[in-house]
Amino acid sequence: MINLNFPQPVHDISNFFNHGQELKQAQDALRSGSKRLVIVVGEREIGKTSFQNVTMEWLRELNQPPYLVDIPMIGNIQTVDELALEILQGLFLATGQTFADMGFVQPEQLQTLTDPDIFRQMMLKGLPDPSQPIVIRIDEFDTILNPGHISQENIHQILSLVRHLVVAWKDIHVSLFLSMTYIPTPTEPAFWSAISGNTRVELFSIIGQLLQHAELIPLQPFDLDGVRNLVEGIFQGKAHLDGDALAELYSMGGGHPYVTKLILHNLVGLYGVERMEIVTANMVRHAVGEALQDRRMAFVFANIYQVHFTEDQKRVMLLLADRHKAISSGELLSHGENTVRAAEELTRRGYLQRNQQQWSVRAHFLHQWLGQWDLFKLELEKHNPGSQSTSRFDEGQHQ
Amino acid sequence: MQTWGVVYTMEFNFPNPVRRMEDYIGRKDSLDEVCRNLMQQTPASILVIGEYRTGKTSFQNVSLLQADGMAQNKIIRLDIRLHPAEYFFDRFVRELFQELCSKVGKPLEETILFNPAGSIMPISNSLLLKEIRDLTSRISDALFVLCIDDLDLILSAKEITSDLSVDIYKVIGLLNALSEKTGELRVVVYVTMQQSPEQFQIQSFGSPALLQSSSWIELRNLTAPESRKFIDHFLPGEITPQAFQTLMDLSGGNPFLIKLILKWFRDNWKAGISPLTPEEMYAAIPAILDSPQARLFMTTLLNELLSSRQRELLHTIHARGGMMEADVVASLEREYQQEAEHLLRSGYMGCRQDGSWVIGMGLISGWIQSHRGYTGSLHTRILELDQLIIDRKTRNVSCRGREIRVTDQEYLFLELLCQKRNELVTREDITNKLWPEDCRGVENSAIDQIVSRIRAKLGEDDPHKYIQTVHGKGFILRNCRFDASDM
Repeated sequence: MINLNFPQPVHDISNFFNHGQELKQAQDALRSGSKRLVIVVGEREIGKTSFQNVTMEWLRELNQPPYLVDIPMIGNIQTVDELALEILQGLFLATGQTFADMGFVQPEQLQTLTDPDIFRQMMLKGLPDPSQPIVIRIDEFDTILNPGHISQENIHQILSLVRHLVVAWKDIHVSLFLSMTYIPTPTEPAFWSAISGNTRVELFSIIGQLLQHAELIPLQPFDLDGVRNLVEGIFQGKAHLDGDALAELYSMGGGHPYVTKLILHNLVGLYGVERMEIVTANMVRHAVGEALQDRRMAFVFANIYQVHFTEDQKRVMLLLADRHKAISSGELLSHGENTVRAAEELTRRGYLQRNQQQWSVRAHFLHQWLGQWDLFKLELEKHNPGSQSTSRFDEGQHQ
Repeated sequence: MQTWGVVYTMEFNFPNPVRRMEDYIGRKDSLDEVCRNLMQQTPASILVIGEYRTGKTSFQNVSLLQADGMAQNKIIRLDIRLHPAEYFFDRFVRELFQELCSKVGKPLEETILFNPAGSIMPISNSLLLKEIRDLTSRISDALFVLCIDDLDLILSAKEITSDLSVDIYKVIGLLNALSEKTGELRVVVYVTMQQSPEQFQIQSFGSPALLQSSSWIELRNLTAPESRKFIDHFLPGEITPQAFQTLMDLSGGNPFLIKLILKWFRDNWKAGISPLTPEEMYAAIPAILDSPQARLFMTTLLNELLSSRQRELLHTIHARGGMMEADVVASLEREYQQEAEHLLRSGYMGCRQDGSWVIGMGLISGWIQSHRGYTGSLHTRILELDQLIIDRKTRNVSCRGREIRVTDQEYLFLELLCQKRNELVTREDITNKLWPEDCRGVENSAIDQIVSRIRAKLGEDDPHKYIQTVHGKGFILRNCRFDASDM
């Protein structure tokens, strides 16, 4: 029985493949406490949650594990006192205290948690052994740094709390283990444009200070060897992809674990493991065709496209999906002065690749999906007025 | 029907949802898919997508009964009985805990929602999830299925009522967490939606975890063999093959419409009658459409669920004799073609091999035919909403029988709202319509003044009864159920 863990994240290290070096980096930092802020940074669906899951599992298995606090439902936290309550009650749970032991936080006390001293005292009161390290894991931490979601005052207060936890307080050994899609450095205009003057200066200072204490662990798409490793790990000898099939899978998925697993999921659905002893490129192509019809998958990609791309990045992706071939910097520039910068950013994020002055998509599956998306033509017209779609999907060659 | 030695009589429980497996017909593959999912070691959450009255609730009921009979784990169903406008996070949590406590036999007052003094305490999400885990673990080998009906209505409530926006976001956050923690918590979230999630702003869901990790099941209209089973079980006599085809043409395979037709013939069946013919079926259409269930279905579908463009498409096809030729289809603006996708997918409209479009359910055509005054089309003369009547030729407006004098701008505003009733009309739409040549310099206060003048002229007891403000966005004309037969 093979376990794809798709689309759910991985929890068990035996089902987690690649990123060995990054895992060691996180484990070393969290075990030694050398860096009290460990941030896994990567694109949507790159595997950050799985990475955090297996790292937390590894910590739990240590001889002397730290107190492990997992903060769930981060999107529901909107104020610093809610985050403080979450940490406090999570810590009590991690130390194995019963609900009666930990005492209640009265409604009127909630506000007082915004006072760092009171919060610190309550933490110390709840710790059986203050010298024992604590690891607090928060997935998708950037959700609560979203100026469209919570106020800039709350962002300020939350980052101040983080600064107290990992920089200022020396007598409580807290490490924060975060995952984020992006770090709000000055190169993230979407974040800073929503922050007003005075707060901006203070946030610059706090974020700068935090980054000095941070271990950043970027997760990138796999290379060809990584994809081979993933396939072999999943199939455990029950199926083999020949060279062409592996190349096709890599070309389609671009090494993105979610897309690669999606194709494999459809491959298994189409052929069944028992009929997959040797998988050919043609079988992979059939699986891609099947995956393109999957509405749930379309919802995931539409989410990435609509929420996680800037307007300029959308323009570039649409152009490439329309042309279905590489595009030169010169041609890109004719569609807007910011397009080349957007293409560079998309390359950094693992969506495009650059060969000399030519840009092309890294994961051809995403390219094909975008070209057949219901809203493709509307989006193309919106972002590239006057553009006549040349997509092959117009010509009835739809897979 | 005989099963395990027990004789069952199938119940024709129209218009209520089916509650017993033995009363359910069709959709075997989808039922099996839900069962397979629930029998897995770590079952995924379930999303059932189906048009209005395609039988989502019946499907949910029956699929859980079937799974309960097959899965090793006992299926314990949790229902949230809140109206969409009541989806405040605290109320949702309390409702969930009440339901859980009643199923596991623990007093609600003994949960962490209450402190020893009996008041509700602030609790963290970790504690909330821990308590849910503790409660569910009181029954070993049980799988708890949290049923949320019509998630899209709940999301719409968030769009309309700003008070709810944060709370519904949090409810979705909890559902996301429950769906992500399925293996650990033994809770499966089972959601139904009328519209496909793609129709919504992605941000409405917060994190898309629930939908992303769900098993998606789309309920379509019934096939001919499935529909035939309805006839075999519920029609008291015979039917000719041509009449059966007529039934399919009239209903499009929609189970509600099939039952609606069957109900009339069951009620009016005469002993000794020869097989039912197409002529008898056509003759019964006016009476069938006159039933309260038919009126509710048609008015809800046409007035509330379909967009103005979709309504207009159906009316235009009807006006063209039931068909829109392929060349006309090709010449339609892209927005219409876009919206037609939904009509085609849901079966309200059909596409022939030559590319022409037809109305997919003959009863809809029959309704439009017998309610010519229906005002969904942009080309009709009179727009009538509840007791508000707008004559587009004379530009007269009356409300509850009283003529109302309106300025040109007020008239244009009302007309726009009526054309897009139950849909958001943005401030931009209003500016474009009322000040087409000078829309840049128009301030919000100018629009607000027009709205308050009209509200005053309509003499509403509740000034927001008809024209609801959507803060920061625009206005929606609400609480109007149009029924042209009352004209």
